[in-house]
Amino acid sequence: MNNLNPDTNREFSVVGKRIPKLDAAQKAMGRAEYIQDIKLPGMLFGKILYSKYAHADIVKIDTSKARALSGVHAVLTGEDVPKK
Amino acid sequence: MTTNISFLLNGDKISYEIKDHWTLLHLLREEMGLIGTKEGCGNGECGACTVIVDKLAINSCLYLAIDADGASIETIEGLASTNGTLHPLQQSFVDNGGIQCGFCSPGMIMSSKALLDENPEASHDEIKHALAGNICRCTGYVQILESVEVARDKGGQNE
Repeated sequence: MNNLNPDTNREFSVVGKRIPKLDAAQKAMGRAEYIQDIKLPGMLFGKILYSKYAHADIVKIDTSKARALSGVHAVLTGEDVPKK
Repeated sequence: MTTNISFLLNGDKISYEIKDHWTLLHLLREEMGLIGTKEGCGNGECGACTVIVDKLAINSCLYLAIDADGASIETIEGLASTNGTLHPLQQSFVDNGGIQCGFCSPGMIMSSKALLDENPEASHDEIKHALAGNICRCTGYVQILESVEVARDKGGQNE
């Protein structure tokens, strides 16, 4: 396959060539760091509670029991989101 | 409940005090800090957590650590040699575009290794079957299969 720049008649430096991915070897060895691998001091963990019912209206959500659990820092619902 | 278990991890003898409900994935990642084994779905659908236990590729998220007592476990961390030379499968994944975001790669490579260790001349279809439990959300399956086939054709050598 012709891999020459039509203007200069010289070979392209990147186009048409296999360029090794810079971090591929780290990923292949399992050494690449992903977001789940990062632990920060005092880091909190979040969990989403999904509705059991598709396309249902939310009438009310009682979060009192969840808030009362030890170690729970916050329980967020739609009430915590600013409304227009 | 805690139990003391002993096992071989990438050839090293390990003794570890575990909680009985820990999965092997939890032991490897959260307790031992071996982050190469990934948690994708956590319920055996995606294969990102694949490790080799006594020559068999398994989902470590579904495997209790306590069952690893006495077993020989291989993880992605054990494949490259200590001087940094990649295992032929790892090298082939790098060379043949088998790695994109890289999250499925350790699982793909471990499933491939279990297959080629057992059957060094595995066919295209056998490779596909062996990787059927590993999902790649970048959808780079063609290059992944090619990577395994190139590694197979080189017979475990890098050159």
